[in-house]
Amino acid sequence: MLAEVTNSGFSFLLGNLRDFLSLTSFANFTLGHAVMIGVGILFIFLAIRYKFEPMLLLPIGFGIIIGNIPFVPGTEVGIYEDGSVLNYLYFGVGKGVYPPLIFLGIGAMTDFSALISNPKLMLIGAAAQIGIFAAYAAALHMGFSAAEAGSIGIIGGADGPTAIFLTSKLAPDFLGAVAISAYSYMAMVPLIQPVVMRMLTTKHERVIKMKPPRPVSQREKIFFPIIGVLLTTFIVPTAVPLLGMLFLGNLLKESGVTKRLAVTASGPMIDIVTILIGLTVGASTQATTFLTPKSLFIFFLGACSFFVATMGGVLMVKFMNLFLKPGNKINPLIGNAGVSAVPAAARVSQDMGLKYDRSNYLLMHAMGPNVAGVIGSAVAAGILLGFLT
Amino acid sequence: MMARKFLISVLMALAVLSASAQHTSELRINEILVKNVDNYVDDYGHRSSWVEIHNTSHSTIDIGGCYLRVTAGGQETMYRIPTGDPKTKVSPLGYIIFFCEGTGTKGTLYTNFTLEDAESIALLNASGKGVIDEVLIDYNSQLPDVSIGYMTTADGTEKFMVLPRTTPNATNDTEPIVARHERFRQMDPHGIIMAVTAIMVVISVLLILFICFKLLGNYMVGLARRKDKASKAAKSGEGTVSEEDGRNYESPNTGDEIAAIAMALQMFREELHDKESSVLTINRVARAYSPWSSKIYGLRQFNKK
Repeated sequence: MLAEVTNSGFSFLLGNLRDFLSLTSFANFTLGHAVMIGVGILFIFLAIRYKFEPMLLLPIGFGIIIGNIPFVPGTEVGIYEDGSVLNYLYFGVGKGVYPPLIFLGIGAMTDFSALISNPKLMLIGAAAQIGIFAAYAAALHMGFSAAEAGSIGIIGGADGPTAIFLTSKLAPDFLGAVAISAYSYMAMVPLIQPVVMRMLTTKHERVIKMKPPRPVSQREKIFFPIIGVLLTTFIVPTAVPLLGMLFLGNLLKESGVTKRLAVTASGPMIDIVTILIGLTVGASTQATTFLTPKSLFIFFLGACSFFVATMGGVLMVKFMNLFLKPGNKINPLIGNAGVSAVPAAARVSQDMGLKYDRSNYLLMHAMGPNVAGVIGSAVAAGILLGFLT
Repeated sequence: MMARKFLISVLMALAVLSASAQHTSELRINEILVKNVDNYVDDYGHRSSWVEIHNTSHSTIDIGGCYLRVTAGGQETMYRIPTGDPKTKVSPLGYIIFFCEGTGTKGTLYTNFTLEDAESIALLNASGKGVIDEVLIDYNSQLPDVSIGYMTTADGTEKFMVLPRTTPNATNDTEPIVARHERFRQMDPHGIIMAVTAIMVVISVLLILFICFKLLGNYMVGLARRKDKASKAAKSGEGTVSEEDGRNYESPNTGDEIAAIAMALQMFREELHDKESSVLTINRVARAYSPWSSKIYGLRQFNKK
């Protein structure tokens, strides 16, 4: 009798243990999960060791690890499972809520003085958007649908929030791949862009010294977001969520009467949203949905798009210089900044400028096309959204 | 105080306007089946005439409180759609069907009139006077189980017409719809049209901004120069007479001069203070071991047997 009870108890215990083991990640682990966890660790390593956009790569890398912890479906754990905490947080990505909030913060921390004092730099920001449409055309040729091609092309805008916003509307299935691709290339701006810049410029051009920007009055700084939002969104209303928030954030900063709001938007709020967007974008790259040949194509096209965008900006400066007087010429090393990876691209211009002339500070000049690139990529996203939805 | 009251009034007016703007005006009578012989059956298993209302907006609209009005033989009959019923909430781009069976006692979706000999049917707002949409009906020309409603024609416009098939609670356009992005792809397989158009738009947007801020910048620079001239003209002679000592000073013109003055002021201010003693004394502190400060000796000791 006692032996029977002991036996049944033991088998019950064993059964329970077996059930428990089947629920652990070890039982559900696949090679895909291992690869993705490796990618996550690589991102964290790059963020900490080389300081490549750590604010983005660290949460994304950790998100990739979290998203690739294997689990049994139906336990309301996964990011794609209704009712899970990660799913609620992912709502902001899936529905395009976070990107406009990030733009609000960017607006509140950006000084548009360089652009206002030298508005012709806007044209560089416009030219750099060529990468978006080159990648769009290439993606169409590779067999992607027009909506998918639009999402891939926007990687060339080098603007993570814009890429997420547009992809959430056009091709939600590509969200993880596009976001990871966009942020990866943004982080690799210091590696990618100098190659193109060296390739397209002469020694003489690299040492061009630009005229210092004129001082900009506060009144002009207040006019800028108001006129900017009216002009841009009247032409491309689909860009309202991004540009509206960008210019609102800037008005909060420049008005001088809403300091608390500007500080919150550019500080705690953007930090919170950055953590959430990084974590959830990373977690959305579950091996089962992410590790596909299409993701590789997206990465490849994203890189091409980035190269073409940088080339577009640099070549535009060279083109403009054909018409400018000797004293007013623009250093083509700021052309790369038109891709809108703020402020990484402008820092690349500064570093390259100093490399060829220790007294040539290009940062302030490069901020002009850099912020114009933000506006340009948001406008481009609006156009794609308008045409393809 | 008055300004605040005015501001609050304006805000309230805006709130009321926006509340009404996004609601019932976006509804329309989408489809009507006057003679229901062998068609859509209501919840009671009966077949009666029905009217489909479509929410053309992208937000939920509560149709409760609105009126349906039928005109038959010169007589108007109104049916007030009850409020507070979840069924009256029409989802974005959604549909709601009212059965015109004549009793008005079977629930929210059953009107107190029929469409027999109807000349027109209208949807009115909550005041019962404002017409949101109205459709004229020629009762005698209506065929059994053939509905009338809005349909998109070949030229892309919507027309109210006899429909090829009844589509209760669904769009009347039954032809397969090619997604817009696919149509775009078919028309522009290489992406050239998109690239050219989009780049042109991006450049023109930023070009307009450039022109606008170039003009604004020129104006502001001109304004600053005029102000500068005016202030110089206001000053007598070349310098400024100090009110304190009556001496004549030249105002600084360049950034270097301003920086030099600021530096001089800073140095002057620093000299106003006494220099504080900055002798650093390092004393050696030694803590010699003592059983009195030892934790071991502070613990209770057990008796050794």
